[in-house]
Amino acid sequence: MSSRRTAIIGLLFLVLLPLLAAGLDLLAKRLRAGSVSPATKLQVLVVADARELWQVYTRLELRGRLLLHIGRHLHFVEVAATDIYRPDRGSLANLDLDAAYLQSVNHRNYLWLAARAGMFRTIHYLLEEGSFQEKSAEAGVLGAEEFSVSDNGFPRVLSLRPVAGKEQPLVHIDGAWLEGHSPEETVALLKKLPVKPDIIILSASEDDPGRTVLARERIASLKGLLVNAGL
Amino acid sequence: MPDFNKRQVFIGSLAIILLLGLVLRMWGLSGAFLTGDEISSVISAKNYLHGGSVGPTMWNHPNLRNLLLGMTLSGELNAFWSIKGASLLLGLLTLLFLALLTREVSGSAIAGLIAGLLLAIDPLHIDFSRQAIHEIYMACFSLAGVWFCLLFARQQRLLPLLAGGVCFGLGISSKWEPVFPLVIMGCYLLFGVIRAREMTFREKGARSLLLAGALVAVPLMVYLLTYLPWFLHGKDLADWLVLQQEMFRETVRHAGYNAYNYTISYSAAEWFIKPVEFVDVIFGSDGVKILIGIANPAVWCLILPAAAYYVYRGLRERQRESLLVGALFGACYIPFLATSRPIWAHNAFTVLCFGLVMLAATLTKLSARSGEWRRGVAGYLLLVMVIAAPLYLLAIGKGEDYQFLRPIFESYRPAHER
Repeated sequence: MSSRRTAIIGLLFLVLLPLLAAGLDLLAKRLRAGSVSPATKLQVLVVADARELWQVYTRLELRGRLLLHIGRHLHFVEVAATDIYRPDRGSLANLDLDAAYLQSVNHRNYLWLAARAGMFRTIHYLLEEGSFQEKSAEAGVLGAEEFSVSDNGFPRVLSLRPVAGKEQPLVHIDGAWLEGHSPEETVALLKKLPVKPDIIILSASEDDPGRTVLARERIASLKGLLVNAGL
Repeated sequence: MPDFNKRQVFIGSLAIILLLGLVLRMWGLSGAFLTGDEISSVISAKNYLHGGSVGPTMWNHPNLRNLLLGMTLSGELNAFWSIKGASLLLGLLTLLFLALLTREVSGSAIAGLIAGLLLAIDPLHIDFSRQAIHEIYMACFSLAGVWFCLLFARQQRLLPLLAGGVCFGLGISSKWEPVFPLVIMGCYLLFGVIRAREMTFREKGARSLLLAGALVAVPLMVYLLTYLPWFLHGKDLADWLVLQQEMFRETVRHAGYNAYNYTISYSAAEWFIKPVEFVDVIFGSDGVKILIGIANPAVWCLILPAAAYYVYRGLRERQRESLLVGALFGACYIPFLATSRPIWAHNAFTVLCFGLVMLAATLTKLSARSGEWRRGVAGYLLLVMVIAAPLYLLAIGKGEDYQFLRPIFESYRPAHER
């Protein structure tokens, strides 16, 4: 091999590396999905519980989205492998993960499952104050207004206010939030978001033992306000 | 005695060793008995391919295992092969590359065959070749990478160098530890270029660029490509960099998933001093099955003396290949010794393989001294096989079936199961 050819081959690989990285980055950004249609205006959807919410997530074909979750809980309880797969469900090799997730989903774990299923690539939580203080104390950052946590490499941000960002979020409002905040307050909060959402999902959290009738009533009213809010 | 240096004799003998390795790795194996790690690995693989997400298990390691398992699971293979196939194949390839590498550095086909044989019957390696997790991947790709690089050094052809870069890329895509042999091989080849008197300055520059391309850019490209499912699910380069950071943080402080693992060996400093072990407990519908992979003391406890002798001879006789293998052994072993977190015995395979190169080469050198030495080495190999037999039964989960192994089996039963 001549020196010239040797140098060209070496250089070629060295140039290909950043090109590959840039190409994958571009591809990833293009492949983010989940809007019903990018051209349509805000979609407001109402679901009864985690199971129905999961079905909506699946129908929307969410992939790599940013989720803004407004509520009281994190819904991020890990599902053990032994709950996802049991020998009585047939061969492990043929395990249908979508069906197994649907079978396991509940109000405690649906965001953990959504993270595993790749629907979201990060979750920003906007928590009510009491809940936020509790979580920040557990994380040893009492007094902070915002902090990050990583669960098995999945990044989440917990905050008292909407997190600033340049990316269009999918917003999920849990019924528990509406027990302490009126629909009007919630709409005002959403108007402050730096980037307007394309989808807002309101969950009545019927499967949450702590749910109240007030939350259910306020969801209907919030939906009406959101549709007319011009978000 | 046949001339093992003859190509056909070497290939035939190696084929017999590979067949032995395959039989030992497949005997009594079924897809029905799966360890907790294997079940979690299958779920993680499906998550990775279908959702581009890492975890739930061993998320701090790169994703070749998820990719290979995910691909075989989505193929037309039956359940057994789709779960165990990749590990069985890579376990077997490790024997092949170990034999080839040992022959390359020692110049002796017998040394290659001895090294291959010692690994073929190693209980711990058999145990992990039978499990659908990635512990045997790194040794396989590191040995292949080193062998291809040495082939390039000898033949000066581009293809082996690229193959070496790809193998190291696959290695670091399994776990990060093959980065150490990669650095050593890069330095070794670069040193060869710098010292080459027949090359002009221009030629040296061109050759250095080629090495950088093949041993830096190619492995990194392979590594990046194994994250394709991740990128295909909308996660971008910034997210990827954050993940790498998190993986590193977790890897340096990882303390295992199971309290039981603290009742077995978890220090790399014990590896070649005493018979270390790794134990998997499987809770099935018909009771508990325990896989007890215990290192063969007749082999493992000779690694350090053999390494010392081998490197000493290498220094005395100025043999670059001997010093290279010593450096590879040290570079892979020292990071494990230096870390303060627990390191279990199933991390030892790459270090062990470089140790086996030195042990086999040393045994061959000694056997060449006289007929008595030859008989001594043959007796030693026989002893290794005799010790390996009961350890094999323990490694494949048959310890409970044999009365004489019951005490060992029972000593590893988890406390709450006794």
